[in-house]
Amino acid sequence: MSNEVPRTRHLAIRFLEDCGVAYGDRTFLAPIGALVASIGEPMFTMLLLHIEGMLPEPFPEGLIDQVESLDELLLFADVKLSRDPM
Amino acid sequence: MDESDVTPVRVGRHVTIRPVHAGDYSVLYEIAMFSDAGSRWRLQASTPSQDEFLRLIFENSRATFAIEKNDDHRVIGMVQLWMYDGLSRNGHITTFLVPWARGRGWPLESIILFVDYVFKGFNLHKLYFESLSPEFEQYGSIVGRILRPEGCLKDHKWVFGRLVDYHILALYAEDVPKLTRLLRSRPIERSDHHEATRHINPVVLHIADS
Repeated sequence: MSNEVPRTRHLAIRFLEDCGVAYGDRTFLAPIGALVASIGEPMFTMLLLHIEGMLPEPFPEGLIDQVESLDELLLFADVKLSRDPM
Repeated sequence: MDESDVTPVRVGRHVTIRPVHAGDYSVLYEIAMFSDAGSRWRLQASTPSQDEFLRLIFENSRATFAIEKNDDHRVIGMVQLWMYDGLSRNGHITTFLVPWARGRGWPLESIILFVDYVFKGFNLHKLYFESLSPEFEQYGSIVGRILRPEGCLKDHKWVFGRLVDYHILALYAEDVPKLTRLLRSRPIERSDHHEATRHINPVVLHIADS
């Protein structure tokens, strides 16, 4: 099994860096609500759109309400990507 | 030049923006008048007739678009370029959304599609976003990174019982790619992975633990 960090995490990291948003491990593990409160809803939405852009289809509606953290969301994206690559 | 560069119909993953047509008039009027959308937009407490509302929408607007949800083609709002100044190459963006679509994230795509269209179509130098104090807080970290604060008029607008501050933010042409790249995100290359992980710090972002 590969030890590589999933590529959607890199995508998220690069996006946050490009936007000048400080991040750390807690960024990925924090409850979604705390993350949104921290970076603001527009920035969080842009991050989602950025990640979603590499998926074959948009995130299912309501997904955000079902995941606990950004890490979980990225896991979903990685599974989706591995099953159905663009 | 690709057709998609000049057509005013812009299709995203979640929404499509397109010029408003007569069939949209009553829907937009309903959204604006029978919810808080109109008051949050430019109506404040006014309740114009549909004809007056339409005149208000199109007056001083160089581009007025309906926002349509892709999955069911419902019109969920409007976005427009208002008070365009061709000499100085700036203008204002105004928008309203049906209340249930606010705070959902994906409708932001309509703004990005629109920004892409008006900056290319009108050769804008900057586009103004205006916000009243209660909503201004919601912009969060996008302020200063993508939207630049340009001014604040204190106690400027009367909003149902109190005077609130009026913030002026600007999106500059050079910052537009930060937004429009979201419309064409693609997987990063392996060579970028290493570079990206190099900067991971254990704890940088301060998130409330409560």
